[in-house]
Amino acid sequence: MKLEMINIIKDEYKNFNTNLKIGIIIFFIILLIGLFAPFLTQYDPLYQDYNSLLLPPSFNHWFGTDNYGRDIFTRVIYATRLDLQIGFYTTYVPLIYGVMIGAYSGYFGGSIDTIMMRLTDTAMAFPFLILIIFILSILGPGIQNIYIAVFLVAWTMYARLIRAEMLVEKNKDYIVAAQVLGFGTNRIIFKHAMPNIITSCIIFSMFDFVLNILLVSGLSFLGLGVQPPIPEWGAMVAEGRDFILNAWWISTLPGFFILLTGFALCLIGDGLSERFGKRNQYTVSV
Amino acid sequence: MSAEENILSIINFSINFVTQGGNIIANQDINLNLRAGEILGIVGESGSGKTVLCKSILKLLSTPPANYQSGKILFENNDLLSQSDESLRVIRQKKISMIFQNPMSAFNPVRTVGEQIIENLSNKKILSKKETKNFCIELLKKVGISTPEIRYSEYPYQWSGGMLQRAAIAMAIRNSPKILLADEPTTALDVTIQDQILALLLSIQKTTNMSMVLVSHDLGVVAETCDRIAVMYAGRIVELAKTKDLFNNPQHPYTVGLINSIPRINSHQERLQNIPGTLKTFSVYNDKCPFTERCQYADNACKINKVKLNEIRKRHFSLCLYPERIK
Amino acid sequence: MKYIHYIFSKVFSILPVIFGVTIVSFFLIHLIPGDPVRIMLHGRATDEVVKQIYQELGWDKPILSQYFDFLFNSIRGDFGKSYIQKALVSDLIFERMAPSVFLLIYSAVLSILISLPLSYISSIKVNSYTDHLIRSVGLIGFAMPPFWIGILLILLFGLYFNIFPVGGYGIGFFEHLYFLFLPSLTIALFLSPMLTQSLRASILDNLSSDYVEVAKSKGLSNKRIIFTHVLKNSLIPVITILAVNLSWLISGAVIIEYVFSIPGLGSLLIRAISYRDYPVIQGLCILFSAMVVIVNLLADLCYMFINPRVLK
Repeated sequence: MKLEMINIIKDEYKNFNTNLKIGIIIFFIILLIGLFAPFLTQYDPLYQDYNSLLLPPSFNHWFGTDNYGRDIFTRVIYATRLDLQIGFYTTYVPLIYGVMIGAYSGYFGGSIDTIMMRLTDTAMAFPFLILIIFILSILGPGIQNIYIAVFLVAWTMYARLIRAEMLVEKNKDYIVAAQVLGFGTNRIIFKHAMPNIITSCIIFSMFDFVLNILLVSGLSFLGLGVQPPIPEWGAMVAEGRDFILNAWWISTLPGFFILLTGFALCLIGDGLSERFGKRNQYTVSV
Repeated sequence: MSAEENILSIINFSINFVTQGGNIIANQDINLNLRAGEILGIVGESGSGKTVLCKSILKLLSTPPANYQSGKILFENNDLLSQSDESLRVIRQKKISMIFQNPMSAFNPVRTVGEQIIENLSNKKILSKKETKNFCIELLKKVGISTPEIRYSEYPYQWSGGMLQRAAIAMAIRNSPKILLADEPTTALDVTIQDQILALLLSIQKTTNMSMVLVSHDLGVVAETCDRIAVMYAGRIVELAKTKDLFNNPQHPYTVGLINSIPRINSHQERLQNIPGTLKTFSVYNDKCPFTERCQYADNACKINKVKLNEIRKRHFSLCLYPERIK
Repeated sequence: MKYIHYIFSKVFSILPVIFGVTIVSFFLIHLIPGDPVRIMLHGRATDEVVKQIYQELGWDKPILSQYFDFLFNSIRGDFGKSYIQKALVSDLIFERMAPSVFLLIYSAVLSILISLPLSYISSIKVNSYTDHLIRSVGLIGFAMPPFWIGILLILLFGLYFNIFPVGGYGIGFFEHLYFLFLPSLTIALFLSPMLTQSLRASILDNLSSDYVEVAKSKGLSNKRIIFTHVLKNSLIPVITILAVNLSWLISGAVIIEYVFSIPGLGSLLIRAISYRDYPVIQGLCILFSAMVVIVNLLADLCYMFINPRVLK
């Protein structure tokens, strides 16, 4: 059994196209950087060294220091942990219940479906950032509240995706056959239908991951997300804004990391969409 | 039968497709002539290469993945396969037309039917708008569309399949072409409509003396309408004969199988007859008989020897090496 | 007649959504833990003052009646009064609307200008290196954080090279174009990859359709085919994409207005949030959602003309 799995993975790997490989490699590197952050630097991300204010990139400080004397490189790689973590949870947690809601809604149809559609339409009428900002203005800033806000709203996109696919899928012969055979609803939905329709969700989740990282860093940039002095990519870009003329490295380099991570994830998403043969479909409008 | 009577001559034509899944031989060593004013039928299973042949005449296939391996298609003393894009376009516009299998998707959904019929009309620059419109309405009348004045400005979704196929025929004959290629024109339609469309095609052919190539997988369709029939299998022509001769005296086992597999209403059949095995696609050009695995008369000699179209009787060709075995 | 039926059914279908939007906007404020008025005043007020403000804002009435007041007022365009900025919310919104709308339209236009040629090239040279290059570079555009790019563009073109101003809105139409170029470009860089990919997919889809083959068999040249048959069909998704992505346009505009100091609705929102100016926040939320809904409605209505099949 294990040998089979290994062989399957090996075969799959051969099918991976360039984009996918490059994306996975870059992302993996970033992941490792985040995981092993303490070992990669001798500095503490919060330590303020008043003798080393606003130093440009050098051998001692690879990315320079900021106006508090903190080493930028250290802060960037510690921020990696935070951003990846927040990005991951904000993407995949809503995916789980969003998919469930969408699946039930699409499968049963009728009034459940209509109500759910109205709900998602309403939620999607608000620009996503605006809604999150709105909720944060009520709850206050901070990572916890970002989670709450996103968990409240982000499921709608997945619900919509899965519902659309389920509507098509439930008329297919194998589902009808399963119904005739008397299989339980949950079994039909999750064991039979789901594996076939989940691919577009997975592809989309990669791009959603990027968007969520951009969201979190954007919110932190505006001051609504991670509060200082916790290092976070967007917050660092904001902090460096005042010093943009003298010390360009404070804003530029964290942003570059956002770009790199996002790009890697996009490559993975793109590679997956080619692998699953959906590349020529319109990329899912967010 | 002199060469001058032939309006279209396909000589040693071969084409293959290069795909990710491998090489596929679509047509091999096709030798076929179309005489002026005749209706030629091409019959074969799905995958036998009939549509590819048709499209190749108009050079519609895009060259990767298609590969025009060899041969010529002569029309008016010119090889169609080596024409420039310009002259090819003129030929498509005025000399050779084609109608396709699925009428519903043959029209652009966001433009009116009338617009599309008169598109690229040869006299468009000379005629006024009104004259063009009237021409189109007359054309629609000719193909049997009622109230063409209203229908003219409707969109394809408002027409039924049968009507759209009539419109497609109108579109094809608008410039009075010399040859009409009909690729399974009735396959996507109801049986009753099928009848009407075939009758329409026949009447048009009679009045204009246009030459026609009718492609179908249905022997019944070609039996009713065609003067001569070519039977295709695995990209090759296995038999070519006048309709009567083909049905009365088939000279290839595949043809025999096809004819026998038609259920007869007045005979007592317990099981329907079929040809055992499935169509095989070839990936390499070879000149051995393609039918040996499914043939009831085949022997070892069949597997080794080369085949080519032989004239068994007068104007009756067969690819089979031993047609005498057929009873 | 069919047109009227279509229009009515579309307009009708957005009513529940608008309704839902007002409900969410209104009741969300009332979910604030703690006393909203005290939060607004940052805790510096006596009970007397708080009570007075409650009365002024009408927040002491029962909730449902408050909601209906709110609803009817909103329909008339009255979103209440901003206590903190001492003005009618609708006035505040009105005076800041123009720059934001300009920015949105400008960004959309720039996006189309960038995507149209790129998608055309991509689809003509399908699966070539050029195609892959356009796609991969597009992915970079998608992953770029808009605030970061905004700052970089300011740094490069505003400060180092001094070609474009670093912020503000300018006076007069051409100054607007000049001042808003960098901000719109930033937003366009984010939107273009999505637009390019969708356009490319749409063009390729149309190129392989049967009627294109039929057109070819009629003797039309490739150029004719693309211009008369494919382009119109391919543009249909552009309208959808722009309409659907309007919400992302607006989100991006909020951040960009902040970065480039543009006196628009986005910076109004940011300021309102830092002041906890709830009536303004509420009003803006409804406005933005209404914009999204209405633009989507307009897009649906556009389909009437472009794709007659929807009238069926």
